[in-house]
Amino acid sequence: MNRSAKDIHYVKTEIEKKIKHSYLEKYIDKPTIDEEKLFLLMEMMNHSSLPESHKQRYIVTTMLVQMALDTHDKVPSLTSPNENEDVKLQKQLHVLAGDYYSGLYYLVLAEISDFGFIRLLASTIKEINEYKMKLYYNEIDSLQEYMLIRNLIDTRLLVQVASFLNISMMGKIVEKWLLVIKLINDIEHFNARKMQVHSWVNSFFDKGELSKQLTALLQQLEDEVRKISSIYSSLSNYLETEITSIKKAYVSIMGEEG
Amino acid sequence: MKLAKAYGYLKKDLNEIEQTINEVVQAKHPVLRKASTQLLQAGGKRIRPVFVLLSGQMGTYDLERLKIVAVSLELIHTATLVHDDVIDDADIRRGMPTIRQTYGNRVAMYAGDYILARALEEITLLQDAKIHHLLSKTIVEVCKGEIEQIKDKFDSSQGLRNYLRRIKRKTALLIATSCKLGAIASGLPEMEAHKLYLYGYNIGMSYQIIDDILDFTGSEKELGKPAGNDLLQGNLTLPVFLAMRKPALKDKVIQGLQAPSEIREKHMKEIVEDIKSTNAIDDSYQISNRYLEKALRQLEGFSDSRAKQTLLQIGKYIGKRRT
Repeated sequence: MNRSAKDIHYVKTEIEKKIKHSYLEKYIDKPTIDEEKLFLLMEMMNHSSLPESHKQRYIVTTMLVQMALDTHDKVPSLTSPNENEDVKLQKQLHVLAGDYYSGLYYLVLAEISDFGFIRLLASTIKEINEYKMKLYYNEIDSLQEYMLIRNLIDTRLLVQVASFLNISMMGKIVEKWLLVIKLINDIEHFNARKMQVHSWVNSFFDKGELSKQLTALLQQLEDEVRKISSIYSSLSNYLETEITSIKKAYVSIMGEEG
Repeated sequence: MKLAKAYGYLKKDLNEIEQTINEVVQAKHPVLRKASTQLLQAGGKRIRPVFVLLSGQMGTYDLERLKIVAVSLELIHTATLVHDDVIDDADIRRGMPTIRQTYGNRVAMYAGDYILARALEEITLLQDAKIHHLLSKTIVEVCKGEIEQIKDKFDSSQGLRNYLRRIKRKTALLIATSCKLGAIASGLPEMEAHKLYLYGYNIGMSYQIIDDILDFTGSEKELGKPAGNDLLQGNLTLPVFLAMRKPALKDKVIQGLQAPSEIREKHMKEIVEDIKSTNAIDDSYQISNRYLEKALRQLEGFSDSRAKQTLLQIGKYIGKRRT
């Protein structure tokens, strides 16, 4: 395990300790801690001049907010008339777990009186819920718009944290890198013909268009990574390696038709 | 006397708070905006803002600061209700369709999250560590209380302590916090702020116990749901615990809680009547009154003022509440 993998494991354990709740754990799945986002957040924090205690709290609380939002997305859109007791309990606990994680984020930051970061996260939650409404009501006219909104929902927290730390360049990289991951997933799902997104979105999807977007995005990302390589060497090395392997794999994914 | 009459002189300030609440939840997305304002516009007693203002009057009254506290607390309370309606599959609240009934669970989740986020944005306008320490602890405790409530449902082996801890987290803490935050925001020393916290805590306990009593004694018309609905939903409240001191009734309650849902309602109707025929209701009122007395005692050290008189009146009103 390299240093960052060990660090990620340590912070993950800290987050898990923070959210530990025996009753929730008994009846609902532990929330997923997105390791990619965690790694990116840690990279951002490593290069900031914040005190160590603050760095960890910023990482933990940003992840708590992400988990709160993700947990609430597990609440079914509508209650089935045939909902059984188990499904009902799961629904109820997903509502409460999400609220609990939100409360914890506020508590952890209140302990160090960091009003600015409390406000930043709250403001981003507000913004993300606006985007979620757009997506929920299908207020989207094109694949590009769909991807833009989906990406805003997925990356807004990290982008805003980067902006708070005055490293907007990192925000741009994070945004693009997470979009690359999503596009790769889309292409893989497309190939496996198990696109789970709304059927109206399916109609937008075009393998050639996805391929074009991915190529352009990888190019932009490479350019931006080059600009930060002298400061964020471990991140830029990581991304350069990943981009190279994606380019190779991408040829095989799109190979038959691309 | 109606409760609102006791604090009628706060009307102008409460109107300002009301206006700010409405401004704060104006989301960009039209449905999110409608959903977020729907429950707030349906009314509500605004008891938390009232406690913030009254506690604030015990110190250096600064409406701008108190308004931030009051708005945030009311929004936090509202966000909880919006999510509670998803938990309970509720169709009606404050006589209006719930957000989940109108737009579905998912929009209710987004609206609740949006409202809570706006509350936290607002409260950070006050950069006072004491305010955030207390409020954040309260929010976490309220969430834990809600989880406990689900955990304790239909559990006949739980003790009275579970119930008291539950109502503390469900009702008393946010009222206590409203009082203390009002005090902190208006510069009262910690000892006085703590007394107001205890006033709010005890008032909240007393209020919730009476609410739980009324669930048995109120008519369906008054309650908007059948009498004994809490027990039917598996929530054991103070009158049930006190009635269960009689072994025969305890057995009946246990059987009723374990009965299949199709026949539970019939069992529970009988149990409700049985509970009403015991001393459980009177004894519950006595316990509520003890909390009330404790609440009122907290005010003894404060010099006489209109705010103090109103806090006393509110306490007495709550004690006499029978509908």
